[in-house]
Amino acid sequence: MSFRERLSGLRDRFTLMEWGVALFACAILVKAADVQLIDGGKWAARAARQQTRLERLPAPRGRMVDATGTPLVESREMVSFSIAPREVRASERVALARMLKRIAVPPVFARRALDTARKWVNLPGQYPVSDAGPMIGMRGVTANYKMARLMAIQSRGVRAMVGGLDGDKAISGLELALDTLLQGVTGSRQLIKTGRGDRLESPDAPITAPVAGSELTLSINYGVQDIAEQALERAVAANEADGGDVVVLDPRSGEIVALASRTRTGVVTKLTAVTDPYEPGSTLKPFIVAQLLADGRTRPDEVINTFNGTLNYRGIRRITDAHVAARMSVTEVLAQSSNIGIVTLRDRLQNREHYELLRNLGFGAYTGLSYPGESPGRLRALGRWDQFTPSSMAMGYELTVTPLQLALAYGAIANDGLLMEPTLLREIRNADGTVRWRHRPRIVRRVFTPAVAKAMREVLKHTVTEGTGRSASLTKFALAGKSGTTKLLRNGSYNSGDYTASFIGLFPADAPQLVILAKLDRPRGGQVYGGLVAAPILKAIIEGAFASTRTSIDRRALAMHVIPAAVDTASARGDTAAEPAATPGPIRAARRPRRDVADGSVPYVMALAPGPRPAAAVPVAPRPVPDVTSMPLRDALFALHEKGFRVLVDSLAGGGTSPAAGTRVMPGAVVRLHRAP
Amino acid sequence: MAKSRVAPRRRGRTTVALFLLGFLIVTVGVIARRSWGQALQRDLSGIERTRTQLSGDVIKLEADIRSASSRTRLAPLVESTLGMRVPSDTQVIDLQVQGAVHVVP
Repeated sequence: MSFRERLSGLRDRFTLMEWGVALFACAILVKAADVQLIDGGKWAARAARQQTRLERLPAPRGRMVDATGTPLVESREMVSFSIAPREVRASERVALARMLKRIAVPPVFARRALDTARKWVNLPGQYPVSDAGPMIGMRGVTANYKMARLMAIQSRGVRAMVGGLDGDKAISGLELALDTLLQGVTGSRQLIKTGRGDRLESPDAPITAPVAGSELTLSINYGVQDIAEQALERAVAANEADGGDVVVLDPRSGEIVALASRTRTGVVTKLTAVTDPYEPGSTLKPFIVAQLLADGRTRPDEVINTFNGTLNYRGIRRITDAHVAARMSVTEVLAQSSNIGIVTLRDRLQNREHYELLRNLGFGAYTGLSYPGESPGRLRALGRWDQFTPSSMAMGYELTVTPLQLALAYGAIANDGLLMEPTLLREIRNADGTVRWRHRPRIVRRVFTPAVAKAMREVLKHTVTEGTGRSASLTKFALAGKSGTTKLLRNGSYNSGDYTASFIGLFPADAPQLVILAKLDRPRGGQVYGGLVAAPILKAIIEGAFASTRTSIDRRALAMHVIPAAVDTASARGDTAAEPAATPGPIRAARRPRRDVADGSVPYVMALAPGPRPAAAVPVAPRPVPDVTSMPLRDALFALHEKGFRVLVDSLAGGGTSPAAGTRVMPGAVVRLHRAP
Repeated sequence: MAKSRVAPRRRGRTTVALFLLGFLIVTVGVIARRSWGQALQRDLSGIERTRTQLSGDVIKLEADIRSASSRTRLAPLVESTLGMRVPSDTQVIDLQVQGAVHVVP
């Protein structure tokens, strides 16, 4: 083969190779075009998935603050840990062991975390980031950040009120009741994975910021709450009681100012003042008198026979009094808590009137408070009353009420006869600070006329000045109140030795700003009467609130209701302490109180500035009857009661109401609910 | 003739070399800028983490202060060590102060 022929063959091979390379290049180009132009979007998305990661940004739950803005519960970032013991550097094992001890990891889990025989250990609990800081970043330690709830104050009552979370899930208290408001909106952001495996936020990656939950302003005043809890704690200890409750209420608005519950062990898991009903005993007696006063069937000064302390009532039961007297005025019947007197007066009411009175006061029905587990108490239906029921109920037995219900009923006496709907919430604000909802006082119904309510306050003053509630009496201000001592029902019978002692006061008596209920369960410290063991709790709360600048007392309004006798006594004694410039009327009197203290004690002087004006109550106005046609019976009853109507269920078909849905009717009116059996 | 053949080849190589150099410089610049950005982002994340941590600490410390200054905690101490007590209603005297603003909602 000549050189020329060989060269030609070589060229042919080169040409073949060139064609091969060209074809390969074309194939690459075609594939590149396919990747870039046809499937470009798919591959770009896949690349983004591989190079970035979408991270959820948890929204902090909303804060809860008290009426003065003091935080009660807040969200705080905490960290939990998972540890891969085999990946922990040998040089860091000692430091890790020290850290585990410092953040108080249970020893069992601390040992597991350092045991190289294990691959993975999840540590229990969550820890403050600052405490666990040195652990974060160690090799083999994975930190998981979470927002956790932190009680901003140490208060058992507030803790029980607020409730708790199990992980991210609300399980009790206001956290559960208002979960949808407290939850924020979760955000997200894209993180870029670096070559070292880090994940970094990209400035141009899309981010959706989380929106924090709404901030709730509660009606609770932390100053009063603190005072109430301390007073209750001391009373429970001093009287060796099983526990107790305190309710402090603003009767003008229905706002709950303080709710304290206490058990002997100190563990408080729920607000027993809302969830646990009890037989109220003598604290129910004033309502019988109020109803009779309203109907003109008695007068405060009417004298009735009290049979020297023992009455054989209709031959069916023997009723006795602790305070023995042949005759008492109606005022004395309440002041001395005469069982005979109140049963005698009760006989002037028909059973239906008695039942409707108790229903009108809100007993046997939910109050409408946003708190899970609220009890409606128990009020036996009229048809199930027996011959003992009327007299038993007159004395506060055979029905159960929650402390909150009872405080609200007394609130009607304090608030010129208007029963108010209670609330723990004053305001809801969005995360940006705008007001989302604000509480407006809501009248449930009018129970008494203003004249009857005023007369009852006068009558109840005597209980404190001359009757069973003298332990609660104040020197400068009049207090109206009523004590109650109830035998506890155990194994179907009432036994002496186990009592519930309670006292309810209206402060000040003439223009009440606060209704305070104190209750002790099974006091065993020697005294058991409500006037002796529960009344001092009220006095301690009022004195504490009066001496504190953090409470919600309207001092200017209070100055108008100082007992003149206290001033007169001071004048007679020539007491001139801290006398300011003269001002007209009762305010001047307020500044010259009698000082019944030992020499050398220093008066506690406060600046008197205009107090807050109570929110004006919504006037009673007709309300539309809700449409309950398609509702189950229970829901229909609830909806109608919630509107403040009294409900009678009849057997007419149709499922509607009379008056018909949409008709405007005054609260307290009877609405017939047609439900065929 | 030979001169004219060599010159375009050299120019081509120089162009390729310059192109490669430019590519290298741009690549190094991009990587350096990216590394610098990542370092900054790491610092920012660290600072943000510290800020969150300190906010949490503030909340905790404020809670501790409120707890330590609560009546339940202080009253027994004050009563036992200083012999003080809550004043009775007659021992509290309200004085009108011009311009005083003290309103507790």
